[in-house]
Amino acid sequence: MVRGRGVLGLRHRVHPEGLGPGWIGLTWPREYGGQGRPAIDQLILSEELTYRDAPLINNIGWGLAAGALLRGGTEAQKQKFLPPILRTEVFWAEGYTEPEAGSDLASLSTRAVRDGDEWVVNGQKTFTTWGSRADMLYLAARTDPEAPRHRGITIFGLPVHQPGVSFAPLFNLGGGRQNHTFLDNARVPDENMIGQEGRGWDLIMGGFYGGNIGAAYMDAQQQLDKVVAYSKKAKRNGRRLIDDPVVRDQLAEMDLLVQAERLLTYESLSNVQSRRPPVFAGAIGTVVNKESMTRFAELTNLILGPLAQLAAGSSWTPIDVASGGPEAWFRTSIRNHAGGTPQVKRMVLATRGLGLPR
Amino acid sequence: MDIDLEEHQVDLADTARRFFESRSPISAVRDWEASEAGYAPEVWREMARLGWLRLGHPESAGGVGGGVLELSVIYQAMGRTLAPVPHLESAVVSAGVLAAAGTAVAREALEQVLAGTTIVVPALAEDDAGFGPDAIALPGKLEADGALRLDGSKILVGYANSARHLLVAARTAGPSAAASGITLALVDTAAAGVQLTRLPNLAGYPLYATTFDSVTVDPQAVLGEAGAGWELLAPVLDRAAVLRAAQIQGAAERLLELSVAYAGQRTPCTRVSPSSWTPTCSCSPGAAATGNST
Repeated sequence: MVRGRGVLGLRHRVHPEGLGPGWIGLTWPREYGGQGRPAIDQLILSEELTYRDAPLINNIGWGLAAGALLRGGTEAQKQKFLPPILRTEVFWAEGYTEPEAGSDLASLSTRAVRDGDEWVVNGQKTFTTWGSRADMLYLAARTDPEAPRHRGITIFGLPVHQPGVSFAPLFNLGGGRQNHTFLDNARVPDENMIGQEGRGWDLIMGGFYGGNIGAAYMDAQQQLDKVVAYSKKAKRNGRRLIDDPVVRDQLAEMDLLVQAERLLTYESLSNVQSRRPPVFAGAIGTVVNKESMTRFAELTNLILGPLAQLAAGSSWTPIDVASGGPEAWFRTSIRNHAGGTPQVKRMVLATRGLGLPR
Repeated sequence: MDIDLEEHQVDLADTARRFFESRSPISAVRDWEASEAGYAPEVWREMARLGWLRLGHPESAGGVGGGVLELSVIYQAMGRTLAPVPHLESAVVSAGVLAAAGTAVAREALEQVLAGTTIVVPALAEDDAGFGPDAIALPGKLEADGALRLDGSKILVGYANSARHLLVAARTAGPSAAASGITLALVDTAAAGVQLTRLPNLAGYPLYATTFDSVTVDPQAVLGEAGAGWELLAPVLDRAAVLRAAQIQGAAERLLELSVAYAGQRTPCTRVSPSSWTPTCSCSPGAAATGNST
């Protein structure tokens, strides 16, 4: 498998409001507007987009929501929801995390109660990515409080533009906006229930460990390439950084971290393609990615030295990386939690992967 | 070696902690960081009135005595609240060099620095941001009359915008890595050819690049013997490193306290309602009182 760097020349072709034509739904079946291409094509595209800081507009839509619809949606839902995602016309926000349910998502308490052919939803979500820009909320709500906690959760596509839904901004350290989302007697039609009632957990797990193969390591690859370029140019103590054995050792360690993540991702993909259960490798990749990020940021800062504190925008800023650079320190703390902490993933590895008792 | 605090040092620590907790709450620190000056002039004036700018300098130099231990307890207290004041730059490094230089210009500048009426900040780091004498490469040309002409840049200069003078280290002789051949001089920040450029950074710290374009420094403003500047600088930088460590320790101690307090009162995340929502998310541990230590 090749890196494919530079093949597409994406920088000038990324659509300002989303991805280029045909780049969403690459792997979806043709009947829903997709191209029916193999998962490897999706990974190659992800590598290119990530390496070039392409904006992942509506990634909750074409990632999470579309994935769940394709796995568990009705034919009518697929016909209704997938094409507008493909055209970047309908934006989706993520409605998983709650004030008291983050990595321990199964303890979520947002309640949906059936009322005729609708459901009435009450509760609060938080760290809602894309919330204020969204048209639809990909919502996990508790429909049966009596059932075991993994069995009482149902997924809905909840229309955002209604009186019962409001947002308050939540600005994170990476400079992005997320949201508190307040659901106050919000209503969602029964036909927007995705998958079976009470079986939302299966869709949630499928989304985390199944087909959504990203290429987060290309952020790191991009940063490494820039640190290497800087090390070839900058001098300290009268010699180029790249000629300093300590720096060379640090650069080699950075490359090891990137390559380990890359290979684990390829293994994951290979599992998906050969229909082996992807659970185990997927969780390993996530743990390695999350735990490598802090070390990667630390190594970057060790090499750049005191200049690492300079933000983008001055001629003394050593490297200018939209997705990393000095701010990588901050980003590691955000990404540590997104999608579950490494501690939670280790728990998955222990129970699902190694068969240990809970 | 006995490093336990004596009674007067314990008192000083208590005073300093109460002083910075009341004068430098985190909300004010955020405002100061966003301000043009980037520091807290009122707090600075009060520190001067308390004699804390004279601390650690001998009475013969206009100081009030005391040593690194007294300064350390103040730096720990400063670190706990991230108080943005140019103490390390002006009252430790620059004052230390001025006291050691002992020239007429230096003595006059020193008294103003210790009184808090003038701020002098060191301009040492260059493009490679190294710390040692080998990192000092800014070309300084000594003229026949003893004047010094500077051409080049210094970076990571803290509080340069609030300073009357820069304490500049230039290379006037010798191989580029040698400790000898470094000359120190006081350069007026308003002098012709001096340009300040703010360097945005992760900590909201008022850092500047200072560029010198054929800047001529009077012979009287050269500090100490030409070429022997590193001897004045080295012991002062050692002291500064200890005090910076004390400051970071204070910040880390406060962060630990906040984390323990948060862990003790936290249900996974505090709920907020639309009506009571405030921009400071109550879900952020320590959002109310921590920031980036420099």
